[in-house]
Amino acid sequence: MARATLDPGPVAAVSSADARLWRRGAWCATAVLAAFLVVPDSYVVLHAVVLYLAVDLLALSMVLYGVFRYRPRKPLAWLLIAGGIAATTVGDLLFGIHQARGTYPFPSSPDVFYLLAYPMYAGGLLVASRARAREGERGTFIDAGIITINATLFASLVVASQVAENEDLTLAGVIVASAYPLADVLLVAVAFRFLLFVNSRPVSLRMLTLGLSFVLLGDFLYSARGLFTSAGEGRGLADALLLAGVASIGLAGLHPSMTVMTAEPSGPTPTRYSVRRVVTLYLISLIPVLVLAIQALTGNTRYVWLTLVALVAVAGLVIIRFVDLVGRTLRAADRGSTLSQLGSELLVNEGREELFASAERAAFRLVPGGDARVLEASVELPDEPELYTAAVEVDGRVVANVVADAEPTIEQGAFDVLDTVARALSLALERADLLAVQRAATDSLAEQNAQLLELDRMKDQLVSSVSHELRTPLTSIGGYAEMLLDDEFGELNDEQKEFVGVISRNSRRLNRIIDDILFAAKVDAGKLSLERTWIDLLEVASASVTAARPRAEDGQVTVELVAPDTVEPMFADHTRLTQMFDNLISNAVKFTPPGGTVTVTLAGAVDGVNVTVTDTGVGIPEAEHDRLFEKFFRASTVGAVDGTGLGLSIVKSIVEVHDGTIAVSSIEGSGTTFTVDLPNRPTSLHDKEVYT
Amino acid sequence: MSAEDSAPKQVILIADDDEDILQLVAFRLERSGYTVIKARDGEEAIEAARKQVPDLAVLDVRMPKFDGFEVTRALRADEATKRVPVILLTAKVQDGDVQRGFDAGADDYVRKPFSPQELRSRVQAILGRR
Repeated sequence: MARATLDPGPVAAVSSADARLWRRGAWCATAVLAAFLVVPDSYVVLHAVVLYLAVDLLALSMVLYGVFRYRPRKPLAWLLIAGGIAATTVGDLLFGIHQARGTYPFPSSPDVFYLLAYPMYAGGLLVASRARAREGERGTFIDAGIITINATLFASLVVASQVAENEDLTLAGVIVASAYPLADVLLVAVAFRFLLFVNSRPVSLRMLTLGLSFVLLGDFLYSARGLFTSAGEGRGLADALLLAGVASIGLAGLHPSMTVMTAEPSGPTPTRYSVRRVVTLYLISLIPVLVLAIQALTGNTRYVWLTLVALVAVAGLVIIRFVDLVGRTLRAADRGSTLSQLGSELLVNEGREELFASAERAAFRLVPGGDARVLEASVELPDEPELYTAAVEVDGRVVANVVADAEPTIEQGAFDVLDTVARALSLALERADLLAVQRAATDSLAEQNAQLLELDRMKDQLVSSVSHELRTPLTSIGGYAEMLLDDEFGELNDEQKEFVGVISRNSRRLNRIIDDILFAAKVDAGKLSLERTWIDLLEVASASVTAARPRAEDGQVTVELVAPDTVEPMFADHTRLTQMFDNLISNAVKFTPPGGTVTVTLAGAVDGVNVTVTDTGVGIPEAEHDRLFEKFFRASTVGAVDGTGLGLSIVKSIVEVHDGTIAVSSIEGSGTTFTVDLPNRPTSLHDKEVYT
Repeated sequence: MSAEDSAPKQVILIADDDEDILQLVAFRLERSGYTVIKARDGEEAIEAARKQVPDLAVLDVRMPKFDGFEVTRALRADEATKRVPVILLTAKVQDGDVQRGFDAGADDYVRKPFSPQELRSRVQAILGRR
């Protein structure tokens, strides 16, 4: 996601042609080395001159061809190494001539060239180190230092033994013989500094390491066995090691991965402490102890002080390394807390500006001493190569960049944490966008809801005021009709009385309809409240039956009440239950033809009363049972009987607010039974009353 | 129940903005032997009551200028009319209105639409006459 200005260096793709070339080089080198080992050294010219030079020249040409073919960044590194091989080659040529003559002078002119090779190898490695200076931890310097101190101690002992045990040496011989181990130390120091620093280990670097190790081992054999001044035993092995070393360095230069040595660094990566690395460091650190032990055992204490100095120096370096590691750990912890703080800030805030500010604060803290900023995508990125940039993307579109000066960023290793900041900001911005969308949706829903509530309120208002307005003229209609029927204002004839009676009856009916509509509206609005008291349901039913009788008798319908002597008291609304019985009974009477019967039964049930109202009327088709209690629904069998279709819906509402149930069964043409079950006390309190 | 029995006749203040209802109540009560004073809004009702303290007031709840509750409170606030019984005519169905009426100091209420007979019975009950 990061448009990093510091891309990792191009990793050389190993083509098959490159691989073939390298394998051929490897076969050639192996063949010449094998020949060198096989050919007895009595063939002096072939052995010491031709094959020696063959290996040298092969290695030299391989490195030079590698540089030509793979064009590494900063080729000077490899050219210096090639220079080292060239110096060795000249040394070998001169020494070969001596050997051919059967002489082994020491020191001699070849030594000058041999010793010249070391600083050139070291120089090559230094150039490589500089090229990759941005990589690795600086702590590895200290590791290299510890190794170098130990190597120096070791080399000093070798030098000392050279000087002490070889009385043949001239002053020049002493100097040259001492120069070799010291040159080795230089090489060890530089090589470790480079190799510990670079985390990648491609073939080329492995070959280079191998080659340098062979050279160092060969040198050690020479020095330890005092081979400089004699053609003693083991010279062949030492020479073979040195030759193998040169050949390996050559092969390192021919491998396509040779470009890695001076490649662009990929940025700081924490040094991985493998078990092997730790064990190696440990063993190297044991050298002074070993030296002390040998001195103690042999009673030869000439180097005790030297060893102690080395130990003190190593201890100092170990402490410095420790402090470095602690500092690094603390910085990592600080970085962690900065990132987690950023995380919570990004979660809390939603505003774009706030999110950007949080990210910028975090970036600033993560790159101490660096100028870290968050630039909106609209702001043109400054065209500076020394910038590290991490893109902030929302829906695949770059909306901003987290930008920091590259130099402090790399030094602090704040590379990937800036990427983390950018990624966290991306997520936070996406989240903020989603929240905004969601909020807009919620707002519009709330608005609609408010509008609906307002409409509902207006509807309630309308129902209430229309009802009110209707009642005033109804008062006049009914009132004047009643007055006409009252003889006090003069007598009407029978026909007139009947007509006025119709007016009076219909005004009362209209009033009932208004009551029903208002009641239904009240139920709809959820405003039906109960005034519960302990009532006697039998008394309520009796009253309703009695009230219904006059009208029922007009239609020649009998109304019966079948009930036990007493029923349990019920905590319920007297008015509403009266309304329920009135509706059920008057309904039954209305739809029962003359001669029929309406039977109301009451029976005690578990914690309640079971009520039925049965008629011998027209019945209701089964298909309509489900809709029977809907508002304004009227069964298809009602015929000319008037009504609003509200009665049963009101009954159902009353039953339900009393936590009861209502059911209907009916046979078309022979009658209908409504069954109501009412609990003696509410199972759930709709109202605030406390029943006692 | 002849009008001539009692002298002087008891005076009833009726207030309603609906002329027909006003007339209806007046007919009924006059025929029952009361003297009726008519008012067509709340203000008129209060003025009439001050001019002549009635024995009883029948007040519509919904009236222009002052509603029935306000007139009731005004009557109760005035020392002269403090004890005048009040019957409210209410078309409202909310129980809250009945409660408001009693709170204002009304003695009884009759729901619209009402039967003139019923109203007369209430009036007679309050005035203790048959």
